[in-house]
Amino acid sequence: MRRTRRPRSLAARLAWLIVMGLAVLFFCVPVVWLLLATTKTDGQIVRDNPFSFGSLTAIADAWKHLYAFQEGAILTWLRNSALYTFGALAITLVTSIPAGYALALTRFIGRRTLLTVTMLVMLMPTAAMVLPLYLGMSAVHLDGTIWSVILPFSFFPFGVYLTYIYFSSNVPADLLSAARIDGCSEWQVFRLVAMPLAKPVIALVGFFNFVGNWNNFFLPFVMLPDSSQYPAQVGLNNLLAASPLFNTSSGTGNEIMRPELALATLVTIVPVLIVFLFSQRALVAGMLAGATKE
Amino acid sequence: MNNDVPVSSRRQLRHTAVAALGAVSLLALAACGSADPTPAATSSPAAFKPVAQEEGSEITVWADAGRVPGVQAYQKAHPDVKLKIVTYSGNANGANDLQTKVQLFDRTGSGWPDVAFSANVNDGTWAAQGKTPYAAPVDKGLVPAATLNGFAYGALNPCKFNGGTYCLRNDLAQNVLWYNKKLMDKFGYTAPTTWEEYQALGEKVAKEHPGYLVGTAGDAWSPEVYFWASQCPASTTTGAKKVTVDLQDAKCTRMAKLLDTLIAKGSVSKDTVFSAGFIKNQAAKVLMLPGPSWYGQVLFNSTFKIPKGQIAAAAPLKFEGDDKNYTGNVGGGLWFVSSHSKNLKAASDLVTWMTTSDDYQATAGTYPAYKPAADKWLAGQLKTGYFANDIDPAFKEAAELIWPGWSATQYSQEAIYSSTVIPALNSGKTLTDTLGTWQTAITDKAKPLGYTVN
Repeated sequence: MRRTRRPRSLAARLAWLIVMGLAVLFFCVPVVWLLLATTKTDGQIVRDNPFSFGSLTAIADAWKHLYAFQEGAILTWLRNSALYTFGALAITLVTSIPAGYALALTRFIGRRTLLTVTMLVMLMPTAAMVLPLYLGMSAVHLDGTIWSVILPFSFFPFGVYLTYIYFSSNVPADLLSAARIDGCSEWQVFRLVAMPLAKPVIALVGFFNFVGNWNNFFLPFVMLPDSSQYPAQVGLNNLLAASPLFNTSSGTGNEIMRPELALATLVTIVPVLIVFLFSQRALVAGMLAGATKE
Repeated sequence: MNNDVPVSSRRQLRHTAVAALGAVSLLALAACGSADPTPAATSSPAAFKPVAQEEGSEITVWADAGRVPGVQAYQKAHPDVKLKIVTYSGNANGANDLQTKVQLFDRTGSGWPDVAFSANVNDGTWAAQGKTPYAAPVDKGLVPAATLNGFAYGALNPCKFNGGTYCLRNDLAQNVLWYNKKLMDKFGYTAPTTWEEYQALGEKVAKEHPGYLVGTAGDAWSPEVYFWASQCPASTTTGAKKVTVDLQDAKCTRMAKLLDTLIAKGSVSKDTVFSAGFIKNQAAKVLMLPGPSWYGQVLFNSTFKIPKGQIAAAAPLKFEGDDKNYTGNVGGGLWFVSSHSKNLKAASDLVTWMTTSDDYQATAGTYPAYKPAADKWLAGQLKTGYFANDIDPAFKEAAELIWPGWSATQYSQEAIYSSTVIPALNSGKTLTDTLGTWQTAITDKAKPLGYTVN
């Protein structure tokens, strides 16, 4: 029997529109304000309409002031962020993809225990581990080095679990067995059969790891004692603290005001935005993987 | 044994139990890594014994972005000194980066900066405490007594603990009475000299010029502006970890009543001077504003954009029944020399230069705590031509009038006022109504930090 779709009532449509409209307002308005803030002077931000456009010259001025802060510190922070994030990302992919594959498609002693521990560690708040990690890094004399940030960043049990779920539900064990019968070694099975099938989950793990590491504040804040080593998030904290808006003891003559802070925030978001835009197709495929069984 | 439970479920239960046990163990381990050695902070420090000194060794300086140019100027003037400069938040705006990091360094036994600047005037309360305090007592042979005597009266009070001086004060933030001379002249008013005159003028302004303001009570630092000046015992330490908090004292209630009256009349705002709404709508209507010395350039000039030749400063107000006028203080940075430093000579020399040198302090953004440098700084302010009168007498008088009964504590009075009193004011309660809740909030903050509250 063919089911006829009942037309939605006007009230339901109206409610849907209101809810969606509020959601759009809630999420988009701050972003729009942030974008427009960079086009205005500090005085215009305070006195003009919050959603008015200033001028492109104001963006150039804000960048000039931001770049002048500690002789281009913003670029140093971005470079450091890229170093820590991509360094950790490489190690994460090299370790978590094979680990998830092994947990999903091979049988070995302690597999279930390892899986349980992976899930447990995944559930633990990362901030809770920062102080023990600092003591550990200090014990092996790695505190204050870039490895004190890169190594903990690359410890990514969530990636192992995602890969495990993907291989468990999307790659039939028979397919791998067929490859073995055809003469593939275990390494070849992984590299030539499993890996090409795992592109969506590799993108997903990579994206989550990248975003998590790029936005991490507390770990590099605790581990790195030298301001020349700060990544963008710790640098932003310094920038805020240097602004007379948040630090009245900084006196006058400081050019870091609202437009510069808004611009710095946007500049540090850009890399995440670029990665997201280029990987969104793979991300959607990865997130939907295993959602249905046919 | 319950045979209704299938074997697989029992196995799952066992796994869950093991997992839960594992999680608890991991969290316990994580907790062991806590870097908060509170018990150590309560013990008295042993006599200061410097570590083995290495003459000419590099010293690490932690300073905020505002102080770094000064440190660089020191480096330029002393090219033979090996310096490593680290920029950090400076513990500004309620951050406690320095304390967190020092506690970590205490755990690992290395990493302390030889010199550290903090914008938090309360930081001596932890830096000078513990078995081996982070801060070295600078009065024990590191900085000459003549130099220490050159600081304004009471300026080093936030550094004094257990009979020693554990830091040098970078700047003072003594409160004066700011007023808009142009507006006052236009309205035919004169600056008051007592709090009673201030209240009367506030009531008059509310009647004759509604919308104009004589003060604000919605700033986090309002307790330091009004209640400190009123000699209210809200934060009086009477010994190591002993504090008196009595907000029902007559010297607290008199200020609460005064402000309540003016808030009700509308001439004292419940807003904060740095809110966007205040800057946009009320900044130009500020007739008078009791507040710190940095209000002049930071607030009126840079933030409110009040044109040159309008803003003036008058001496702190006095209560008619009191012998003399007192004032409070809102901020002021501290310089610490690390007790772990291997080059105490270089470290002490740097903090002495940063706090006393005319080369740096005379043009600094805020009022120097060191008196000879303050003279030069005031001369520089006069040259700017921004103020409508010579602020020198009011600033100098206020610098010597900071009531010594208000002590630095490990907890922040500003945070307590912001979270307890300001929301109550905005919900329609009066300050007088809120004194009890405020007192409880201070007590609740002080006790867990080991204070005995009377």
